[in-house]
Amino acid sequence: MLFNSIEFCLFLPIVFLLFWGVKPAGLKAQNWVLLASSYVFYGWWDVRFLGLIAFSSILDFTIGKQIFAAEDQRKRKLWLIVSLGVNLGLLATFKYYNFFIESISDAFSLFGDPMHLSGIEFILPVGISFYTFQTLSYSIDIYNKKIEPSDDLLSFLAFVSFFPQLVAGPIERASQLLPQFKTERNFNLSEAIDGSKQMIWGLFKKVAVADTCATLVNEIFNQSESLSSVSLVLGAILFSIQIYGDFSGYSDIAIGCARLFGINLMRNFAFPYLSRDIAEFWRRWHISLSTWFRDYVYIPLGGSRASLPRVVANTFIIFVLSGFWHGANWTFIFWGFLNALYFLPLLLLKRNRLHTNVVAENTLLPSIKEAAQIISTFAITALAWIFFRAENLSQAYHYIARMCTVHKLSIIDQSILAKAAPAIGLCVFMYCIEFIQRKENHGIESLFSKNKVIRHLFYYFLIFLIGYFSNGKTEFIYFQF
Amino acid sequence: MNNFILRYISKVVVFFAPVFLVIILLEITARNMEDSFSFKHKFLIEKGTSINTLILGNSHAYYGIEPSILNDSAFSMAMPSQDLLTDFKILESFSTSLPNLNTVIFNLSVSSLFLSVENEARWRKAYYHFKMHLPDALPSSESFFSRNSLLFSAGLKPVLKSFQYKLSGQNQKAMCLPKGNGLYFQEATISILERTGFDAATRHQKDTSEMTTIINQLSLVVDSLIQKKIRVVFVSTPVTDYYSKWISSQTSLKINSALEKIITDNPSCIYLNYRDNLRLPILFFTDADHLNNNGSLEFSRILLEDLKKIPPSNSNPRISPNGLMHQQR
Repeated sequence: MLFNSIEFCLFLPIVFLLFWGVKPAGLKAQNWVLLASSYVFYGWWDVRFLGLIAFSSILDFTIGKQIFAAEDQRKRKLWLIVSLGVNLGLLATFKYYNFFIESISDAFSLFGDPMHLSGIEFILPVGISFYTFQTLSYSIDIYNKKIEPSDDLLSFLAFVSFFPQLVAGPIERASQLLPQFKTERNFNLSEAIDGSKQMIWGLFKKVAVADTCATLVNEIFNQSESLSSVSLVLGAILFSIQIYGDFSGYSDIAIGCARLFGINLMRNFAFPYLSRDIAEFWRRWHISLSTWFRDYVYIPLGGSRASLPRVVANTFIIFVLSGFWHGANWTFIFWGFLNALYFLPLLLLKRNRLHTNVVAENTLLPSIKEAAQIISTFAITALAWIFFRAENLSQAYHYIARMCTVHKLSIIDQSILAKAAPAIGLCVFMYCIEFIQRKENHGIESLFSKNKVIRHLFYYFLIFLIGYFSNGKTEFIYFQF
Repeated sequence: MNNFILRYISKVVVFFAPVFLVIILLEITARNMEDSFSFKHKFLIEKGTSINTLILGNSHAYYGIEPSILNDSAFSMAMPSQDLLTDFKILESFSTSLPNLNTVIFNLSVSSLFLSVENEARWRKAYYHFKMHLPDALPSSESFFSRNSLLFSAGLKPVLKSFQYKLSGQNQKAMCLPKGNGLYFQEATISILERTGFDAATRHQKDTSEMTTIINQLSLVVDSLIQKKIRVVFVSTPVTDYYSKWISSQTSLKINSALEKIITDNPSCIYLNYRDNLRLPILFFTDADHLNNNGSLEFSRILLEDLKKIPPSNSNPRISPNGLMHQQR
């Protein structure tokens, strides 16, 4: 079920009423409601996916107990390896099998010995990377003695499958989310109202901004070989905004939706395109994944406190892994590699924590220096996004090469630029609103807070824009990951 | 439920009440507003018996063929972006309302062979379903809401646009003429021709996936029309070079083989190909692939003259021995 569908508009109020309606019956009844509704939500795509998520959840629930109960370190490690092996094995099978097969075949053909290994057509279960990482963090945290295993299967199943964040995050830690399924939840009116506002803003970013940009971006990337640099630059900028609107829009809806049930999810985006350097960008973009890699890969590898070659290697490892997490394609791997190249100089010069506050914290507008920093950070991330969006490395290379060559505006460019006005207008509108709200948790948290009429008119305006630019049920980009 | 939850629910209901009200008002107004779709439906039901020549096709036929020039009893059921599959549905659905039909003119163009309404402009399917009452216009996979609401099915944008046309006195954009055709008045400038030529040609070549289905169905429809002793005429309307130059050789090849198949499969039909347009100058066009008012009148006269020259029994009179791209000179 998609957040931007009529089905979800009906589903959510029904679940909301059921959830709070059964509150007198206790926590267990509420967890049953959440579990059942999450499975309905997930099964809406394909009921066969339910078996996989149920298997993965029960496996980690059992292994968690075994890790905790094991007395000697070897046994604990063994159980952890089983958990890692099964979870990553499932992920590798469904997501990466064909990539490995193709890469092995290509590698053999380089040595003049073509090898014909056949791939298998798997249906990629929606959100598999997200819930696999969530359950993995549970097993690892028990192994590291950070948490104790859950003794309640129902709350654990509800935690893994919690529908607002099931298919595209935020990737929650058991230590943060699981206790919320075990303690009594009380309805908080202001949380629910702000959650609803956050959902409207998320929908606006997805339906109006991202989907409008998507039409043009697809056109530009499909015809990149015939377009001039102006159109190609526009394509790269619009894709950067599209992916932000799409993914942060999803996160806003998920977080807002969870707040209706008295559950707090972690923040996933903190206005990343207001970052002044790439280190700040990575503290603000897809926070739940970045911190996951930091806590479970980077720090165990020694982090930045190791020797210089080790620090360099660790940085490349987490960025490349992060790229590979997105999908089985060399473009994602190169995207990760490129970001590591951007990040490394800051880390080595110890300038990676220069900007830990909000831009223009005590002023109305950023200084010229800050504006230049924001623009240059955006420019290099947009360049990297070209690899993320391209079908293959060759397309990305040709796109960038053509982008750097001066061409006369062709008729195709004129046609594209003439269609770009609504997308650009929506992007500027979104950017301005988020700049105004840069100290808040989401784009419209305290906007027009002093004037109720204007505030409500603004919400109606957003709803109008959502309806006007709605283009059917379009999937979120991150569902494929 | 505690008071806070009830307060929240009441706040949400109060906030969304105007939104629902506006949705209901828009739905009612959109359903009852007269447009080309509802007008054509009404005309066929009420005056279908008076029609002997039916013109079908997309915007090339909608703007390019003036029914009143052909004869007093001709009517255009062509619509912008209308594919051949929709043409067939129209013929099938309204066959009982058209007892005196003796000629059907099908428009054959790059877009009519390649594109389906689904891909070109999805909102039109909703209009065919709700305003023209065409069965199966909306796929059964559509949700309950889409199948029961014009607004949810078509989207807010086309509905608001039709209101805007109505209110701003540009009714000709939402409403056809009494004979079912449309009208463009302005003459094309070079920059318009350049831009629209590229845009239209790119759009029209996007999707070739349904071509085989379309051609197979066309043969079935033509068979049934011929059995009813209805003359079938295929017409490729004129386009400018600003459009043709963007049609790839691969597409041209596909079109030619498709047309060849259509004509081989249906030997008793007439095919008149004006696609390469050697008779109409640019001032007869409103953009790269659409005739304006004067062009439509002129082209319809040419079409009428050519039709008159063909004896009723003659089969495939305009097919040259060496191929399909025979010109009407």
